[in-house]
This record gives sequence, C-alpha cells and structure tokens, in this order.
Amino acid sequence: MTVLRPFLRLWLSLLALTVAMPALGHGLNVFASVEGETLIVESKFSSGRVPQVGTVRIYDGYDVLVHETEVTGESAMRLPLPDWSTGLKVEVDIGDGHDGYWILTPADVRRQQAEPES
Amino acid sequence: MKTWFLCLSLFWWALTPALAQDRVTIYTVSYPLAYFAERLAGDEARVFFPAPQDRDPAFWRPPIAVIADYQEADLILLNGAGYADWTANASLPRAALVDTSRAFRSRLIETESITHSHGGDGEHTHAAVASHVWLDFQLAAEQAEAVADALKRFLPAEKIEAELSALQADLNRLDQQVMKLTSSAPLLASHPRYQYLARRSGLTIESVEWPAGETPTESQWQALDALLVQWPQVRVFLWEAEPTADAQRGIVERGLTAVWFDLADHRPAEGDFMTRMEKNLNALQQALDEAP
Repeated sequence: MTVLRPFLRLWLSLLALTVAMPALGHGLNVFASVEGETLIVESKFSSGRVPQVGTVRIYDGYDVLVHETEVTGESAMRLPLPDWSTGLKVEVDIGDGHDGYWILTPADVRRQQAEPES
Repeated sequence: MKTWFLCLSLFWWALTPALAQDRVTIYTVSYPLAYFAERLAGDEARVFFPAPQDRDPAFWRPPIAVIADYQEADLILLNGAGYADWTANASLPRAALVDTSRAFRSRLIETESITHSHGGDGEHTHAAVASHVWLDFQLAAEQAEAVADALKRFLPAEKIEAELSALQADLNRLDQQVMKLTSSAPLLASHPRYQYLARRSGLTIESVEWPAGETPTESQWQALDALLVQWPQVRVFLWEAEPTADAQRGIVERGLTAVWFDLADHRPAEGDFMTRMEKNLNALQQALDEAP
C-alpha cells in the first residue's frame, strides 16, 4: 500500500480531473488532497497545461478565508494543512474569470490522513 | 393497562430509529428528482433536497456540512447537463451517484460556445448545455426510469416498476398536453430556461435574461422593447418566477399576455411537480388560445 500510494493519488487526481471536466466548461480543473499535515493542490487546464500565475485561496467550512498564496507553476503545490475541522474549500483563481475549486469535507481529510504515509 | 401502554410506547420508541435507518437515504440536486424519488419509493426512502428556497439549485454551492450529508447518502440523484456543477468538485461516492440524464446525453441542447485562448495555449471552444431537461416530459420520464433503476438496488423491483408505470403515465399525459400547444408567433421568456419545452412543442421561445423575481431596470425594458420591434408578432411572455406587480404591469402595458411558467426547480408552495406543471400548461394553453 505504501508503495502504491503515489500511484493511487495520481490515479485519483486524474479521475477527479476527468470527472470534473464536463462541468467546468469555462474553468480550471482543480483537485486537492491531503497527505499527513500537507495539503496538495493540483490545477490544470483541459489541455493539461499548468497555470503559471494566479492565486490559491483556502476557505474553511464557514467560507472564511484561512490561507492565501500565489500559484507557483508546479503541477502539485504543497501547502501546510490549515485547521480542517469544518472542511476546506480550495480555490485557484488565475484571473479573466478562470477559476476552479475542490471541496474537502472533514471525512475526506480523515480518510486521506488515515492512509499510510509514502 | 397503563403498563402495557407504556411497554408498547417504549417498544415503538426503540423501533422507530431502527426503521428510519433501514430506509434508503436519497439526496437530490433538484426538486423534480426529489419528486420522482418520493413517488417511486414512497415511505421506503428518506428523500432530501437541501437547496434553500431563495437560491437557484442549478448554481447553488452547498456548505461543506451539507456536502458531508450528501457523502453519507445511499443514492445521490444528479440532473446532469451542467446542473449543480458543484457535484464535480467534491468527492462523492461513485456507487451512490446516478446521472439521470446520462441515457440521453446525445439529446441535450447546446446553448452557447465560447472561443478564446489562455496565453500560448491556443484557441479552444467551451460548450454549454441547457439544463432544465425535465421540461421535455419524455426526457423527464427517462430520468424517472434512471431513478427507478437505482432504487431497485435497495427496494423490491415489482413495487418500483408499478410506481414507475404510474409516474410515466402522468408524465406522458403532460407530454400530450405539450404536443397540443401551437403558436405561429414566437414567445418571449424572462430567462433562457425553456429550450426543452420549445424543442418538444415546436414553439419558438426567445428570451431576455432578467433576474428571477425582480423588477426589470429601465435598460432591461428598453432591451425588451428593441426585441419587440424585431419580433412584433410576440403576444405571450413567460415568467420563470412569480413577477413583481411592477414587472407584470410593464408586460401588460406592452400588450403582452404574461404567464408564470414555474420551472419547479424548487418544491412549490402548493401541490407538487405534477399539479404545478398542469397549472403551467393550462395557463400557457389559455394564453395561446386568447392571443390575437
């Protein structure tokens, strides 16, 4: 399981991005996951290109902004996991009306944290 | 006697939560799907449609606590066609998801396409589709069938089939009413939501884009007047939501007959999906009959 974990996350990311695509007609595909105390944020255009500029905003379950940072251009940004007790909404906004988000419920975070570390 | 009554009460008190837990838990993204599920499953299911009355379920993003409730459901009924697109942005259990318009995906109506580029990414086109599929009652019947198929995983198939036949008969009756609607003149609507009704009936329904339940601004009235110059034969105007008195007056002053054709995204204040649609169709039929 430990060896498979990176592949599992990659597969889940691809699956989520693929499922999200039809509904995100005019947006950006965003996926977030948790590894221990790290929040992993992935965003891509449907072409597969990774945005180079933009803003990542993280909101808690009450829609209160808890963290904001700039897009780094990496395919997977690693951020410190904020307080997730009410859940998290991870939003990537690259301007010109292009944005996307992913929602993590507390159960999602608990389940992902329970998976063994790679 | 009192002791027996007390024992019986305690027995039922203990049993009720257990019975409730045995019922299928269904979450939906629109009222029509909740209605179909309630008709098909009856008391065997607990059906939840949590969108607040003052929010448009097509665009509403539920709070995370509500999304957590969706995650716990036995079935999550999706409308598809881009309706409630938040469902593609959260981890919902695949086994519970039912896309009720999947079977007729090729018959969805494309509404717009936007061509643009992201820096050096080259030009590309985004397509959008009309989402209020249930306004074609033949498609609504197919949605009901998808709900029925999903319910058969939990409930006796014979019961579900019987309820489905009755529901589809009601939807066919609405469809026959739609097929009787005729008008040589186009209709105007307050919002572009009637694409499936138009296609099925053969009516031409053009639209403005006014916010639901608000009085149009001066510039919005001017835009309507410009459309009426373009289509002077228009006599019937469809409101997607109950209009304000000023809005209604403005329509009547322009010589149009106004019809409130409720989309039924939400549970109606009175009656249910079927009675609301009958009311819509009767009002529209009457307006078309009386139009000069």
